[in-house]
Amino acid sequence: MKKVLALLLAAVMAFSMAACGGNGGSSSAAAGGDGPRTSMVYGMSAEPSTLDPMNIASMNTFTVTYALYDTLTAPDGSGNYVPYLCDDVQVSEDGLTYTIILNKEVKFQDGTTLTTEDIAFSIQRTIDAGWAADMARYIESVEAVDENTVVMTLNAPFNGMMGSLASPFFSIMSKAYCEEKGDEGLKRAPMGTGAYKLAEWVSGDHITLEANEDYFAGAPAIKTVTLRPITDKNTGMIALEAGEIDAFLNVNPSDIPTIEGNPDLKLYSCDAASVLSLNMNVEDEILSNEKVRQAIFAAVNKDDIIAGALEGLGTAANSPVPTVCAGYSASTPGSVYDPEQARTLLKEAGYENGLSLTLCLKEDNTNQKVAQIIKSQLGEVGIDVTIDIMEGGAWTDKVYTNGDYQLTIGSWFSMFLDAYSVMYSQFHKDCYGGTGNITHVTTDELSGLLDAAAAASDSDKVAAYDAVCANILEHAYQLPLVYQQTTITTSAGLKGVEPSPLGVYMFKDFYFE
Amino acid sequence: MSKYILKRLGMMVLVVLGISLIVFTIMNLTPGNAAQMILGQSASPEQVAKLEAELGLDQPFFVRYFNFWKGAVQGDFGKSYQTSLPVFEEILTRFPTTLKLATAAMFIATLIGVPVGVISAVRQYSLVDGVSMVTAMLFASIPSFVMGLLLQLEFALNLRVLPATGAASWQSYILPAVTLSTATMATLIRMTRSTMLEAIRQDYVRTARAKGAAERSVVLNHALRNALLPIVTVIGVDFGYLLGGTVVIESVFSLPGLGTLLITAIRMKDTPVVMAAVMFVTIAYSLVNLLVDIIYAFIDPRVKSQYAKG
Repeated sequence: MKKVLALLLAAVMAFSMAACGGNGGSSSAAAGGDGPRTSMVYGMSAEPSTLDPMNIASMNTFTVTYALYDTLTAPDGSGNYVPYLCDDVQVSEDGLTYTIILNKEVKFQDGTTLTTEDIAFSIQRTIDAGWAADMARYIESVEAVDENTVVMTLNAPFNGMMGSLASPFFSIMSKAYCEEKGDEGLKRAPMGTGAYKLAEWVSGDHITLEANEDYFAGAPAIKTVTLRPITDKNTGMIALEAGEIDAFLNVNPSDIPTIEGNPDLKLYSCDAASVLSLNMNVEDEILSNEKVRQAIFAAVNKDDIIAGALEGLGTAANSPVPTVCAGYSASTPGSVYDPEQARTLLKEAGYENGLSLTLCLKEDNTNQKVAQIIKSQLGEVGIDVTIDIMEGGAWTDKVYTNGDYQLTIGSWFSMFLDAYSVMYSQFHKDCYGGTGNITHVTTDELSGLLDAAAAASDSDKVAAYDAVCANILEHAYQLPLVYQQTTITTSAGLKGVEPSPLGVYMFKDFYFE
Repeated sequence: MSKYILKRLGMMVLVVLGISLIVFTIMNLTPGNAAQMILGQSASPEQVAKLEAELGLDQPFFVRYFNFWKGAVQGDFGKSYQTSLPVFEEILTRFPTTLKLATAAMFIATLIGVPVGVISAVRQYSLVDGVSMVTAMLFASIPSFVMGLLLQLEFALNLRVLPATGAASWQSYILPAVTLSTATMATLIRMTRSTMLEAIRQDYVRTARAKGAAERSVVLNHALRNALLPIVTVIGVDFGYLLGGTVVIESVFSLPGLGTLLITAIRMKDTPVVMAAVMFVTIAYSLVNLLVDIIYAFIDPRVKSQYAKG
């Protein structure tokens, strides 16, 4: 027995020694060497299912496609969208003709030169596929008129066009390559003009990107980017602290004090381009009564939600438009917490003895906490709320496909920083149900206001969206709750990081000191 | 023996057929639409309908079930709705991670659990016995994700001797394997202790001692061999369970195994992946159990004689 024990201990010791002798295996993020580091590891919350920029349904994975592909326009840092992959975009006075001038210096990663045919093909591909319909709906036609010029004709003036062209759906692809690979082939073998090219994709484990040394805007400083799916936020935090990854989005709010006290890590945060909202189905028998909806508006105290469910991270929302989007106005009067008024409104609506509603919810820790607080607040004015938590697919089916719900909590993420990107799909009658309008409001008045806001000049945009918001808030279709924060935590040495409201980061801007 | 094995393999086919029907039905009955999940919330009903037709989701239930088996018997489990990759290929990429993890965990659990159980039984009510029983209780009670996080905090953050996440090197498997081993280890300690306690009180053990056999020989050759049967059962059942049940650990340690593949597929209603992964785990589980039954014959001659009869 002693011999067995001795052997066992020896084995355990050898195992431990070997383990201690290793450098931590995958901790490439902590690797040293002469000069600044040229590789980084990015922890993403989910693995992309495809890298075809046209049909990615997850915001998280846009970061990867933005590294591989470029767009015709890009934000300039002060909220304006300016030409990026092209030399110029000239807009006619009536706002209906966009003339795109080719940048002849741009090459695809396979060495071929970007042509106007490629640009026209890429835009047409997105239109034909029916993706990004809210953006593509304005494009009447797109044509490569000569070797230098692409002309895009709109069917109505649209002030969000420059922003739309910066969304990943309008990534510029090679016509010849797309035709060679087909839609199926493009999912796993992307090839664009981007600052990085795909080097390796090990399913479930990592995606490796390598710098495109011939990038038209200059080769990036970070030569290798490894993207690892880390689905658990606690694991992401540990991997950050252990130096195994260099960047991770949206850590648990409770971890923020730890990050702030750690000199090896840096936290960047900003308002997200979305609004956490309480949606009400206006086709529901009870909620079709405007006074009931207004009572709910008056019964909810947003500050309690921020303190109780979001650990103080966020600000009370006054408008359905995110603060970071063009068209947002701080002067939009939001709902006022007044439980007495809520009781009066319920009485006027004929519910002086109270009523019962069901709040259906996609499983999510934060949303569940928010729902509990709303349930308690509505309970105080006589609205008995039952919370029905369901798995993501079931929730989408119930709320979006079938539309048979009463209340739900959710956020609509914008694709570019313009009010249009969140407002049109959510409230226009053409987007009824599955395409975004889950409150089922179909009034001509609101749709007309949305059409006018999309066509407004830049100087009139804020006033136009103010009118849209006033209508939504007056009729109490959707209660904007909180402007949530989005964060990125990086290793302290990583520079060039600007917090992104969209949660999309450009590796080409990153470098190590 | 070979007749018995053939009979068991035949039963396995029935089990696989039954489970496939149950899983296919559940995937069909649960709410959620694969086409909608792929296209996202903002997809139009026309786009969803078009994709449903492309994926064959518009066909009746039994036609789809029949088509699944038609492909499966030819080795074609179809393509993942999400990634468009051949499902079998995807499973073969992920399975080695799960297999390594389960094997390492089982190895650690057995290597420590069985000897500790034996010592506990031989020195019943001693300090060693007390400590091992409390440890076993602790290991059985701590949820695996808590144990995983605690080990990550200590070994990856404080001591910085092992990686916290990923599957880049063999060291990456140490923390997840240890975490995964604790529950099985606890079962093995307790099981070994109780069966050994029973065995060492048997007449044949007293006889062996009376014959003057050395204590080590009495414990290992006479008592342990007779106590092994339930222990091997636990090892077999737990190993089968680990092959399909490492989801939480794979998520906590960010390992690209079968568990994470399966859980993502279930969430995304990716029926081909769910079906193939469940079939794979079912077959692996059945084979491990068959192996355990075969091992019985080598441990216990009585079982072997039963096989010979049946």
